[in-house]
Amino acid sequence: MSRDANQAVATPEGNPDPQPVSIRRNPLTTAVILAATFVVWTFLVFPAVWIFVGSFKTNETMFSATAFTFTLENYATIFRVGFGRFIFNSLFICLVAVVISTFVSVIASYVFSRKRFRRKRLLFGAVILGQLFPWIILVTPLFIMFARIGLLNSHAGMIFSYVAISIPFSVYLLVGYLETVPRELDEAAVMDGCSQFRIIWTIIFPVMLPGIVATATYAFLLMWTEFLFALAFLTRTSLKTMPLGLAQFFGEQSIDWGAIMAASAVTTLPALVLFLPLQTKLSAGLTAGSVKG
Amino acid sequence: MLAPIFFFLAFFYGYPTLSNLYNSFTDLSLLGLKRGGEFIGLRNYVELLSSRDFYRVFWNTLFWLTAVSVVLRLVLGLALALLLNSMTLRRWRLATVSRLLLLVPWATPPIVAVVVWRWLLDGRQGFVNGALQGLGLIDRPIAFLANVDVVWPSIVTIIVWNTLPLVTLTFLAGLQSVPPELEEAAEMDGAGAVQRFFHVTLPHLMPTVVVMALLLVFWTFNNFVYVWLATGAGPGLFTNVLATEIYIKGFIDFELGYSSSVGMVMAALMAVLGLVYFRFVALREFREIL
Amino acid sequence: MADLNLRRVSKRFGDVTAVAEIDLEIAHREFVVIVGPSGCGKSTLLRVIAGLEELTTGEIHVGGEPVHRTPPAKRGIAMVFQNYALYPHKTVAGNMGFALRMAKVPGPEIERRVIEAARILQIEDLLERKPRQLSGGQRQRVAIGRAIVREPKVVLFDEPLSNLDAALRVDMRVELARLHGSIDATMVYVTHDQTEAMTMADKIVVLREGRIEQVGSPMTIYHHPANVFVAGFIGSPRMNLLPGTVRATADGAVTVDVAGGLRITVPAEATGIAAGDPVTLGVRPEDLAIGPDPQGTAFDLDVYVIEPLGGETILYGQIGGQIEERIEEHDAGRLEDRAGGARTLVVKTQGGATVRNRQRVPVRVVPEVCHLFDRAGVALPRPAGAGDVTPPETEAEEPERMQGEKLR
Ligand SMILES: Nc1ncnc2c1ncn2[C@@H]1O[C@H](COP(=O)(O)OP(=O)(O)O)[C@@H](O)[C@H]1O
Ligand SMILES: [Mg+2]
Repeated sequence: MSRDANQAVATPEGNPDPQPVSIRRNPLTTAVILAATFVVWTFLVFPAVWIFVGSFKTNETMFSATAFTFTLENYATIFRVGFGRFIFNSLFICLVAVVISTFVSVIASYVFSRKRFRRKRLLFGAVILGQLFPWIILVTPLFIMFARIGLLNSHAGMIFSYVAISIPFSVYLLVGYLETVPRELDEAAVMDGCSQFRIIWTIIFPVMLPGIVATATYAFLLMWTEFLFALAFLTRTSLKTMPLGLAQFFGEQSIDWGAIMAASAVTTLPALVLFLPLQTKLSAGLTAGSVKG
Repeated sequence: MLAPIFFFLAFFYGYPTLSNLYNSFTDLSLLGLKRGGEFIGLRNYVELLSSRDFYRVFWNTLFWLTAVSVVLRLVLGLALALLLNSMTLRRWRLATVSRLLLLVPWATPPIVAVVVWRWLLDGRQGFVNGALQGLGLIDRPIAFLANVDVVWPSIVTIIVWNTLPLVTLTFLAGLQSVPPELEEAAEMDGAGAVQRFFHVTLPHLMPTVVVMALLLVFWTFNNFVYVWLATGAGPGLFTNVLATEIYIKGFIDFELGYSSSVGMVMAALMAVLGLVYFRFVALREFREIL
Repeated sequence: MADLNLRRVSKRFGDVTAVAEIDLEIAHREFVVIVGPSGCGKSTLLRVIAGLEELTTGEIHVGGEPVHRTPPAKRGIAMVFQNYALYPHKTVAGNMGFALRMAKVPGPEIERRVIEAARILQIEDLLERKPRQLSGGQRQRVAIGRAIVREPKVVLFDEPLSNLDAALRVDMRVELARLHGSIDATMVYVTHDQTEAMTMADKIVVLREGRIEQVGSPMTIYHHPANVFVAGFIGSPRMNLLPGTVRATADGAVTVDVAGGLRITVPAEATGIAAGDPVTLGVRPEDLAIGPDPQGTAFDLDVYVIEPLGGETILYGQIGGQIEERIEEHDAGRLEDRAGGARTLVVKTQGGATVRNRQRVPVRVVPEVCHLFDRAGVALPRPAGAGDVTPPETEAEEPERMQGEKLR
């Protein structure tokens, strides 16, 4: 420490310091920072790693940190009890809902971004506030409504719900993205003789494709991991989604940790793969406005 | 072109909210859906406000679920963002790796996050108990998710683990948008690292922090999954929060009317916060198109 | 024929009137430049002509046909945007041919016309590239190519050069002038840069707060600005505007006292002006010269900044003498404004500087080059012979500076 202080004094004022203060190397600081980094890494990654490690362990060695007997039995188990069906259900519901929700959101965001109309502020506010809506209070009335119109225990009901919960933030993200696409592009297309619909699909859609892909991926992940609506609206086993299927393994008496880990791994992997290319876009996009202004 | 979309959204958000409002004035039961509920005026609300359980639920939601976890995430998120942005990490070429590793908890679905933490925190053989015993810090295993002394910190840990990355990456983006000239000007003015942080970096980051705080409050206050999957609102109803209360009252006790009144209390609180968000964040962000 | 007529065209956005009652006649193949400060409604006017904005009132005719209810693509009007607005996912050829494809022109015909336009603009080698692989100047050419490939009757330009660097801007200016000569289209060009306006226009329209201040050839606008605003806006450096008071009026001559104790008799029609009225004397920096004047119409100038530009030199100075007492005569509301204006004077001289900083020099004012504006800022008509002598439309202009020298 004292050596460091001397060093600071030894640099006479006005003498060009080859290294700015902020990056002067202090071994102690460096050590602390590196140590902190490794602690953080452990905290972040360790639990997730154990999902994958645990999924290949037998139930006997499941809780042991050192003993490891490799087995594929856990994966065999989950597929034996019908996890494949859950995967299919999840994929089907999420993919259909993503396509619908993205299609609708692209049009809506285009209209919000480019058109002037009465009550726009109110309508736009209503849509994006949907992002913050407490879903839990929708569960009961929707349950009643679905029961009346026969959407309980149906994929259609889930698709309906997932489209509805993903529209608000899809519109929010897409409008934000559209703001970076110059309006003159649309106007040039108008001058070139494009119809409204053509402008959206032949000009705007390709230009904002990266934004649309990001938004759709995000929507997919939201639906893929959704639990509450699935829990309330799906009671028939053959219709359940993966998160529900996963929760099923928590039996009343015994917990089959091996199966749970395998199911968790299968649930997490697609999310992880989709997340990697998205990272910068999402973290920047979610609070873009706050940084901007 | 917007009309069908609004119709659709009104069908999903608007109508249920109104029907929820109506139900909250009835004694509707899950068993008597066909028959419908009897109008009982404000009785549900009176019952709710005079119940000591409700205040505990409310306190749990407000303090433990929301306040503690949000503050913790903001503070840790900022610290972590500063760490990831530090020259040291960049010099050691660890910054990119760290960012990638940060994605791991974020990409983990909440339900999986809870699952793996339940395993780590298992009351008999869990890894955390093993580690603590191995280090000699405790003699007997702790039932982290069943012991009232530690159950809330355990739940908060799960929430923080799962959602800290989002907060960190957002702050990191904010940090990286601080114009370097600003830092340099402050340095020329003789500000040290700490002063630069408080006079340049933090003020620049403040709008991001405020928005993030608001969003976290929304996401957490309403959240059902973490508590439900981690403890099922237990032990007993010790960790019951508003979201789980609504579910339990409606789908386990079958008292839909009462459950709806809890929902309305929650909706009212969210509406106030939502207006704050709309007025101070959304309106500003989309100034140009509105 | 592709003449463009605007009749009482207005555009309001809620309470804001962006364009107010514009009447304008633009002849076939004319190159019209609309200038004005930013926010004055230039873009809005252009977009109304294009059909991108619906007009609030008025009519637009192209070649005698009303088009203000016609969709933009069917008006025979093309537009070049300030930021080019090229479709990033299409090639140069794709961009240029898009309008023709939308109009269902057959493929070979599209190809022929795209290649022809590319040849005119010298971008034949770029046809397969994407916009992001082009430089600013090349993008600009593609944007122009996209407009002319449709063989429009009217081409609109909205500040097309403002994103280019200074050198490229001069090149493109020449290029556009050449293009205007080689295609059969009327051009309406919007800019806030008065140099572009002066160099390219057949006719300049000066716009301010949505209204036309003056329409005329560059030389008319330069020599006979209709009011203080036009006088200040056209010309660089800006015209000097000095507060003054009318001393006496005669037939075709007004005698004015201005700051610095100068008394000068300017040839102008004294309509609606009487002795004692406040007026503004306008004189362009290039119309002033350093040196004593035998007739005695000269200021004392205390020079405080000298900008040598090589071929010419610009002097900034304060008028010496008893300024304060003069100012008192003017209406109090504009006192400060005028006082500031009253003190400074800009002079543009030929050649290198012979003056040193902090020096007091005499500045000669020739009455014939002066402009007078009444209390409302409206120009007092100058005799046809004043300044420019010849009607501008017919003959090439001799720079006024020379005339001034001759008069001396
Ligand atoms: N879409 C619009 N809505 C409301 N006001 C507008 C709109 N477009 C332009 N304006 C207003 O009209 C005026 C003229 O704008 P504009 O034509 O863009 O000016 P210029 O191109 O000369 O800089 C400005 O006051 C501007 O604020
Ligand atoms: Mg403009």
